[in-house]
Amino acid sequence: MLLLASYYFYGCWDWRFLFLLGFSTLLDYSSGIMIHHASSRERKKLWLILSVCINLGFLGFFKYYNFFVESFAELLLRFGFEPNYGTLNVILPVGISFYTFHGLSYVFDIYNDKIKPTYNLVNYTLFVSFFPLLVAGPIERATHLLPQLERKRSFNYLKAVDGLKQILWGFFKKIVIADNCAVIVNQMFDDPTSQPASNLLIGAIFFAFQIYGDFSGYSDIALGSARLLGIELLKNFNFPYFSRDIAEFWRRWHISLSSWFKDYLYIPLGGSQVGIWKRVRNTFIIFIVSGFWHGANWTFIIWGALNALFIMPSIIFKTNRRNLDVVAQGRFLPGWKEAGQVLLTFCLTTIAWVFFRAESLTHALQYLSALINISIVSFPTIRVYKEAVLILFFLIIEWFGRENNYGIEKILGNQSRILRWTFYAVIIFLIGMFMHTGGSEFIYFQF
Amino acid sequence: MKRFFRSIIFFCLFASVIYCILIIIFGDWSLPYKNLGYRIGSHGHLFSRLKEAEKAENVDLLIIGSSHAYRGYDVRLFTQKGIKAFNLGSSAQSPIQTQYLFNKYVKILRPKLVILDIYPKVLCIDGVESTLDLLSNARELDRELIKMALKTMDISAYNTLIYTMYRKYLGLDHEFQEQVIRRGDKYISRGYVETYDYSPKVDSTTKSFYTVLPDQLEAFEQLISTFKDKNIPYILVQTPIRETLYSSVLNQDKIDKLINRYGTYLNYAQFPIDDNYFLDDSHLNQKGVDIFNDHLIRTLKNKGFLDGLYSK
Repeated sequence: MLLLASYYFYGCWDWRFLFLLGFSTLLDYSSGIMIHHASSRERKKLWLILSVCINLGFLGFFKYYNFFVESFAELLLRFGFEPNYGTLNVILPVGISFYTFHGLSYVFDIYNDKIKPTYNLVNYTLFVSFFPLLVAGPIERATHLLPQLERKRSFNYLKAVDGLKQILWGFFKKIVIADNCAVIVNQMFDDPTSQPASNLLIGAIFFAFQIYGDFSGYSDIALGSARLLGIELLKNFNFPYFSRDIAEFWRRWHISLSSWFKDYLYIPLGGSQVGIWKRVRNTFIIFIVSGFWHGANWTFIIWGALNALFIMPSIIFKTNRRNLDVVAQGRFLPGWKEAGQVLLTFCLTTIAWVFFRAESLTHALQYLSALINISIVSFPTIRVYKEAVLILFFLIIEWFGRENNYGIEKILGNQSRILRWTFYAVIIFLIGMFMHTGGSEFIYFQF
Repeated sequence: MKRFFRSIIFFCLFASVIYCILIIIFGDWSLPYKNLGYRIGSHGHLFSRLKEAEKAENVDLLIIGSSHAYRGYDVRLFTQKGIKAFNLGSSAQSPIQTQYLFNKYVKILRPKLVILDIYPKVLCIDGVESTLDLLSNARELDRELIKMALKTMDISAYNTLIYTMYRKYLGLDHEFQEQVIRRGDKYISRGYVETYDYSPKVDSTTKSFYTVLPDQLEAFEQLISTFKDKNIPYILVQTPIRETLYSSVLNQDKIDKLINRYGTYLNYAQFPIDDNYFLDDSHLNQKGVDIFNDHLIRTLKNKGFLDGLYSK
């Protein structure tokens, strides 16, 4: 039933890509069995390489073909050649980066003897295509999700209610915070040169909230929907804007992707158990690859490189695991030092987000150079009172919920039912009153 | 599972009550909020127009459409020619709202001829703005108006509907009196809005396409069928607009051809008129209306539309 629902869900976008999804599923399913049954390490490796090449081949064709052709042609032009090249009008299958990584983690884990392959094709197909995570993650691991799919599930009242609460908070993040911020952000990024720097500063800050509200909102909806059906997905966000350094930020942002790269790229490269220069190299590699995973554009690569640069001091001085707890744990407010650290981390990520949002490198640099201007101290000419109040409300809720799984999980949790219900009703009201009605897609659907 | 569904039902009922209470509180509290658009006595004098429409019986000519209608057809100029006209235009009125207004008032007004002002853009909008205008300014909240609001699939319309119910059913707008003159606009009896304002031409109008929405086209077709069923002659008219605006729409020809299919279409979009005679890019001011209406009445007369129409 869940499998049919998942395939129907994906088919609603474009039924033709169901075949690609089906092929990718069959490939990894059979590769897993072949790797497991291979008689020698070399044969296992051969099957693994075959599976990885085909998976990445599809991803490369649909996502990166035009990028490579254009970049190569541009390079030739710089050397004085006049290349005659053509690009293809390729439609990017929604969620291809996500389901390719699901499949890859499965074959990697079998190759590394972490799991045994499943022989149940239905369960495996559901693992790859389970509808809440199919189009924008979280990127699940077979070790975590497959056993849940194989087990008999029974309805759990408390989990179902918890799932609904998380869905509600996800909707608030997406359609109130992200979509309202998007209106201002689009205005600022459309023509940065015509805006005073103070407006651009607001645009950059709002994009930080837009991308967080959009993506973590989707993750909350996905996790909540899955929990409603009795399935626990991997946590994808853990209040990243309350991080005290960039390393902590990356332990809290898009956790399923960061841990994927850590397990399947960073550690095989030697991780942190190598000399300083290799550590630096490995860090740059995973951040650049992670940037490139997001999209075929130099802006994402620079965004990744910039984050690598920001995290570098903590990698070199081995302080990257300094902040493993929650900021101001057990306290009402943070200390001055913590507040400063959180603010500085937010500023660094916001600068990097400019590259993520910009259409091109020129656009990003244009935005940043217009931002560094004396008019940054002037009063902004755009009116954003409503958005600012909503963001403030959002931050307060998130701050008080930062030790839990999601913002409203335990807010008023030990109060009477009438109080709790009133609180949820108020959130529904805020959604109805302030949601952006223009309708906009989730940003991560394009990846 | 049973407990879960029972809780969901109770919560939905509870949340609905809280939601409505908050809508009423927020509606009464003047804040620049977003998804609640109750604006009684707003732009376009619709409140006064609808109040008058209830008493204006047996008109010769009914003019209906968007703001181009209530700003573009001066009922006084028609009266001078012996034609009793009523203007039922309203802001951003799309065919869906025109259909509602026509069906509601046709029995009272009993028009002998209808001018359906058709500014092509109204076929391309969702009609939410006009629905909010109607909800706020309608004298009563009837079933058709509620159905129309629900069909918009827009949260602003739903919120405004809740707030309108509260105001109308408690009779809170009973004493409301609309100002006759507001920001350069003067309401003239029987639906017209007079203005002498002028705004200069903007040259950098961006290029655009008209994309007709299926719902609006369907409502437009149903409206034409209603005219035919009720045996009421009708003319489709587009008022003059500035050349810059006209040329900024890249598929103007296609739209004109489409409208032409539905009856006599008098397209004045490119009517030669001095730039000073425009209120803005798409609306005439009084000086422009005088010229345009004079020409229109003569054309209607020449084409025989006014035969047997004169009240006096």
